[in-house]
Order: sequence, then structure tokens, then C-alpha cells
Amino acid sequence: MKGSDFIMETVVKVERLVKRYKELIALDHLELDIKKGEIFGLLGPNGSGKTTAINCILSLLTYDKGEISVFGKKLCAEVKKDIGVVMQNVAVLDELNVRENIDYFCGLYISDKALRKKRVDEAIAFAGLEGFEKFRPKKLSGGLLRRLNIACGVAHKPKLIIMDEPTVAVDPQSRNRILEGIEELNRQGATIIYTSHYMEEVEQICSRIAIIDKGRNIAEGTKQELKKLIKNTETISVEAAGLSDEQLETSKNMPHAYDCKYDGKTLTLLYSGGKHNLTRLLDYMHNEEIPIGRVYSLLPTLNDVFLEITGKELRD
Amino acid sequence: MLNRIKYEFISLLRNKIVVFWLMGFPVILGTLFFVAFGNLADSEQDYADIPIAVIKKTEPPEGFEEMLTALSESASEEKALFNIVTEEENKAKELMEKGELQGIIYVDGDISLTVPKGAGIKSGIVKSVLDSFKSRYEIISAAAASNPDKVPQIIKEMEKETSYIRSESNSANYDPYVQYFYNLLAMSGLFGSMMGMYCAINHQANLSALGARVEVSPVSKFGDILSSLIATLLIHNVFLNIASVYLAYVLGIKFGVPFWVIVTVNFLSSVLGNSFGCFIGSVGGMKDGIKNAILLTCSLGLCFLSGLMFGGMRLFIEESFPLFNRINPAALIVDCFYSLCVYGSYEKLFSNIVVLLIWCALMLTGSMIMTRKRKYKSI
Repeated sequence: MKGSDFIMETVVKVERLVKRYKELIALDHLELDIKKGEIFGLLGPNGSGKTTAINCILSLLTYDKGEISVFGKKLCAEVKKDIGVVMQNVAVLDELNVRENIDYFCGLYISDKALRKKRVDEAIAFAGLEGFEKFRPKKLSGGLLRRLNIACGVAHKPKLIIMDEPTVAVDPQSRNRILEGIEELNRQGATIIYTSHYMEEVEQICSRIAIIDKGRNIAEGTKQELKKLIKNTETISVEAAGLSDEQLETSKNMPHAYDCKYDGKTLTLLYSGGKHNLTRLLDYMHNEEIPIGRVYSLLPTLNDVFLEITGKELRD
Repeated sequence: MLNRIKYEFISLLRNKIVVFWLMGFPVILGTLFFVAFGNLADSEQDYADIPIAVIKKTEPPEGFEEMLTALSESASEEKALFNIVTEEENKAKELMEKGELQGIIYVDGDISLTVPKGAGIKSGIVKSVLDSFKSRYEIISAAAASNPDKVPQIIKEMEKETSYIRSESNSANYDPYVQYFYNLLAMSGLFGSMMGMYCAINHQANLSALGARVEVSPVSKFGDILSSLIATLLIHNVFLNIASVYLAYVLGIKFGVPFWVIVTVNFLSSVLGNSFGCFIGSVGGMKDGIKNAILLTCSLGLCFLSGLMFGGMRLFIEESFPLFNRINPAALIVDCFYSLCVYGSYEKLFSNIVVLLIWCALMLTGSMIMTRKRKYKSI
């Protein structure tokens, strides 16, 4: 069950947040409303303001305007106890082994030794670091190191976990493991803010997504809601060599098709709405006895959403 | 906090670079000094009969000649401290150029001293005696002018102090090369700055990812840096004292001071080194490598000026710019040992300690001011 199924109160609220670095506006009246139980994705290209937003929420950065509240309060030591942070850069002590590192960072939140030991054991199991407890960070692979970084950030079982691009430079296998772990944390009740520029990751795990560009929240919603924001609903590609101008014109005028590209080998049609678009196109080609090769029908991704919303016209 | 201190301690103990520079390096350099200076020291061990010249151009102050006479006449079993070779200026200069004199005392209205180039500990002794005479003369003169009745009591107190210094000086080591080992300890203390630097860097979000992780936690920043400093001080003092034990008991270097003085001064130099590192470490906008280079340059530079590479440097500074020796932390650390060893003066030791404490307080306060921020304009 994803967080969106039990949306309740607001955990993080960001209102009209403005952050400037001299002349550069890093955050431009950013608005966010993150609910309890969500995996909330902050999606945007490098330099869009995701990490700046996170650092402002964590009260590490000063900001020029706006309001931020976490669990309904300004960030203070009491609130910080319920927050876990996984930074973009791996932040562990090189001279301590896996268990010691987790215990050290968990110790910043939990002073009770017995409880801490339990939490450290759970974090090791959660991150799949069993058997590596005595390893120092330098002996770990990139994926294991990232998992240690995550374990250090979440060992104290926080209610809110902020993850800033935790899968950067991680192999696909470790990435999947990390994403599964994040979903597991969410199932255990944690609200998660997840920033990434990998759209497929955000699409895979996030229940709600905000697309950020140039410090502004340009679109927000579930992935279905976001996809509805754009014209394209389906892209069909058919390998068909030697189409005549007439055949091309007919294809272009298929119901719901709004754009057509042909490079002499592959016909690509973009559709906006409609059902059975693929069947209709293939029937036409069959009737016209056009020899066809491979056929693809692609639904829009967040990548399409992002590209359409942050098009040049919009930036200008 | 104990958990943090424990892990910081373990972390530092496992850091090979820290162990090398803070313990291995002083041990290696100490051994090299020992090998290099062992024979030389033996040839210069005798500190009696220090050859000097006294050039009187005016009538000396009252008591001056008596003092010189007392110090240049041998008692029944002991040699005299000074050997007045000549009272002729030209001959004195000639002998000085040949390196056969440790100092020329000029009495010309005031009392002044000229020491040879590359002056060592013997010239330092001559200077100390003159300084001591001048300060006492001024005290007695002032007392005689303002309160003549108190003069006998002041003289009595001074005699007591003199006899105390004599008794304390019995174990003194006048080996001129021992000051290289004092400098070695000063350098090892100031090298603590390398650890202190990371106390600041690892706890500031604008300086490291580790700092960001710590700063988003609910722990107090002051307590966090303090726990880190405690751990570094603990480990640094362990290393410093191991190195000191090695020098004193394995190599047999006679420091000429009680071991508790070594431990105390080591502690102070460690606090100073670490807080200096913490101060530089907390400065934003510089890479770690640059900060390290600054600390290394400062530590070695200050030690150079206190005589680590050239023994006569401290005396040269004393002659040309004495104020610098009063504020140079390395010179102060060296002087803590030197003054007690050579002059048996606890007074000087304590005054040096006070200045070192002031330095520590300044550095720690500066570090705390620089690291107090919890929000940054940029990260």
C-alpha cells in the first residue's frame, strides 16, 4: 500500500520560499505540502533547486523569504529527533567499521544503549549489511557504501526521512535494493522526501511528485495526474519502409493523432487520447499491404511530462 | 556524549596518518636528534668557567662588581660560573670573533651584553644573570627611594629566592642540545592542530557532508565539538606522553625538569595546538589541503623561530625582538622547560603557562564564535 492511500496531516509545509545566491534565484516562491505517509518525489534536473530546498527544510541554509514548518513546528532539536537524513554525498567515518558507524550516528539521536543496539541491528538487517559489520567503508563496494550511508541516516527510525539523491553512482542491482528499502521504510510508517534527477526512480516509488525547475514548483501531483497535464497520451512507432506520401498523409490523419514523424524507415505517431489507436493503425497498414517490422506502443513517462512542461517556450 | 567521545577516540587511534605525525614522527625525529647530538652534547656539557669579558666605561652600579666577583671565584669543590678573560674592549672583540667568548658585558651608564653569532645556552646563562641583577637592582633602588625601611626585608626575600633556585637547579641539565628536544615536544604539541582542524570541519555543514549529517541531528553543536575536542586531546596527550617517555626513559634524554612538568606542558601545548587547528578549520571558503598547509607552515615556522632547526634562533630573537618570544607559543613551550631546567625558575614557568593559557582561551573562543552558526548562506 502506497502512502497516498492513507494521506493524513501535513508533515512538511513550505510556503513562498525564496532563496537567493547573490543574483541567482535558487528557489523562487517554492510551495510544497507533504503529507504523512507519502513518498514525495522532488524531481528536477541538476541545479533546479532540489538540494537547496532540502537544506532549507533542514534549516542548514538561511533563506530570504517564506515559511517552513515540519510536523507543524519550526525546526528545533525536538523535531530533529524525528527526522532522518540521507545526504547526497556519503558521510561516514572512514576509520569506523559498518556497525560502529551506524552506532555512532544512531547515538546522535538515541542515548539508551540497549535501544540503540536493537536499532543498529535492525538497520544492518534492513540495509542488507549482514556479514559486513566489521568492514570499514573503504572495503565496501559503491552500492554497499550507499546502503551504509542510508542505514546511518535511518537507524533511529525517524518519522520523516529526507533522501537527497541516494542512488547517485550506484549499480542497477544496488539501486533496486535501495529503492525496495525505501518502499519498506514507507510501509513501516515513515514519510519520505526523495529527490532525484532519475525520472524512472521517482516514477517507480513516489506516490506524489513535484517537478522543480529553476527553483519553482512547476507541477505537482500523482504520476497519473502529472501525465494528464500533457497532450501526449500514447506514442506509437512502426518500422515501415517506403511509405508513399498518400499513406503518410492518411496515417497522419488517423483519429487522435496530433503529430507524425517519418524518417524513411520508422513511422512515429503521437496521440492525444482515444482508444485502440494501435489496432486502427495496424489495420490500415494491413489493408494497404504495407510490410511492417517491429511495433512499439509507449505510454508517456515523467520524462515526457518534464520535457513538455519545461519546454523552451516555458523557460523563456 | 560519551558514545561520541568513544568513537572519535577509536577513529583517531585507527588513523595511521594521525598516529604517525603525532607519535611516530616525534619518536623518529627524537631518535635522529639523539644520534646526531649525542657526541656533540658530551663535549659541551661543562657549564662552568663560561668565558666572558667585562668592559667598564663608567662606574658600575652598586653591587655589580661584588656579584661578578662572587660568580667568577671558585668555591672549594665547585668551579666558578664565569671566567672573566679580559677587560680590554679590543681584545674582547677579537676573542669574540674567534668564538672564545660567550659574551661581552658593557658597563656604560647602563649594563648591556653582546653575544657571539650563533649564541647558545652559555650566552643565555650570562644574559639571564645580567637580567636578574638588573631587575633586582631596579627593585631595590625603587624601594630605597620610596620606602628605605623595607630594603633589608626585600634583600632577605631575594636571598631566600636565590637559595631556592640553587637547590632546584641541582638536577639541571645544561646540555645545549636538550633544547632541540624541548622544541620537538613543542612541535608535537602544535601538530595537534591537524586533528583540531577536523574537529571543526567534521562538525560544520558548510565544510563537510559529515558536518551536515551531524548538524541535522538534535545534538547541541557546542557539546558535539567539545566531545570531539576531548577525544582529540585525550589521544594527543597519550601520544605526546608516550613520545616523552620514550625520549626520557628509552633514549635517556635528561630534560632537567620533573616529569609532571613535561606532562603539564604537553597538555597545554596539546590544547593550544588543537584549538589553533579548530580555529583555522572553522574558517570557511578554504579547502582542507590549504588549511592543512597553513597549520603545518605555522607550526613549523613558530618552531623554527623557537630553535627547532637552529638552536641559537630563540636567543637571536630574544636579542633582536624579545616580544616575539613572549608570544610565540612554541618559544613559550620551550621556555617552560628551559627556564626551569637552566634557572630553576618556577616563576618563569608559571608566567609562560599563563600566556599559553591566554592563547588557548583566545583560540577556543575564536573557534566557538566561528562555529556557533547553525545556518549558512551557502553549503
